Amino acid sequence: MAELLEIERIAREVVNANTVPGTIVSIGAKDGVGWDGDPLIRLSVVITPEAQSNLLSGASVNILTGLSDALIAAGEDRFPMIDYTTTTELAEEDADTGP
Amino acid sequence: MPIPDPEHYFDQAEKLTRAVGAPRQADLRRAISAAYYGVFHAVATAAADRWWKQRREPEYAFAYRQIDHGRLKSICNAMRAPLGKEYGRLAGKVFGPELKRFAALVVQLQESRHEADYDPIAKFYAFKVGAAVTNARNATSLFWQAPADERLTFLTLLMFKSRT
Repeated sequence: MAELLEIERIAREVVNANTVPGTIVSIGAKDGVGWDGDPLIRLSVVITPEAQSNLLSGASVNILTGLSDALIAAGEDRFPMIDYTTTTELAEEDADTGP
Repeated sequence: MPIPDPEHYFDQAEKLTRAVGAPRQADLRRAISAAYYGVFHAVATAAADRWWKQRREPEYAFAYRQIDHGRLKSICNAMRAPLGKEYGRLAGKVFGPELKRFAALVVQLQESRHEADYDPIAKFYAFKVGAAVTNARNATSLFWQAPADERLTFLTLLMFKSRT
């Protein structure tokens, strides 16, 4: 099992390799558990709004599979669950949360 | 028999994300779920079609229902690397790039769908949901782009349990 800092380093490398420079604002990794109890890695990737179209045009698939392969090569077999958020979205207020 | 059309699920997911103004959490959650189910129905249809030719007959529905979410996830997760010894004579099997990519996307989509349907504190943002819909469409394309023999191996793993 790889250390979270090492996982973040690998993730940054893979995201950088598949996106234009300056896409990443931050990357955070933490241990998690899937719905079936299997351990996984939760990765939060905050990107610039300008990077959205690049990711939607196929880069996100390359990142997911590239990261999965890189982690397996590093001896880490937990699945990487990647959550993307843009800086704009993070700044927005909730409009519809319940009471 | 009107088999669920994966494209209709993807279209539904896109409509839900195109709401005027800030999209509601309920719409974003339904969109994630629809995106995953589009892929799920594509796989279930492919499996049932292999097994029973007449879609109007109850045996077809019976075969279709053999695909369960947990098994789909565990097999897709296993396909990221050479298959382990729990897969009996298929141990060591390595899937090509199309099905490996498909498998990783399925695991990601299924986890997201569980969050969307069952985790009340999860927060969904439009970009993540848009990416999920794109990924679901890509997963289905990759599934059909994969070599037919590999696709059959995958469907065999889904339909039949290994006895070691």
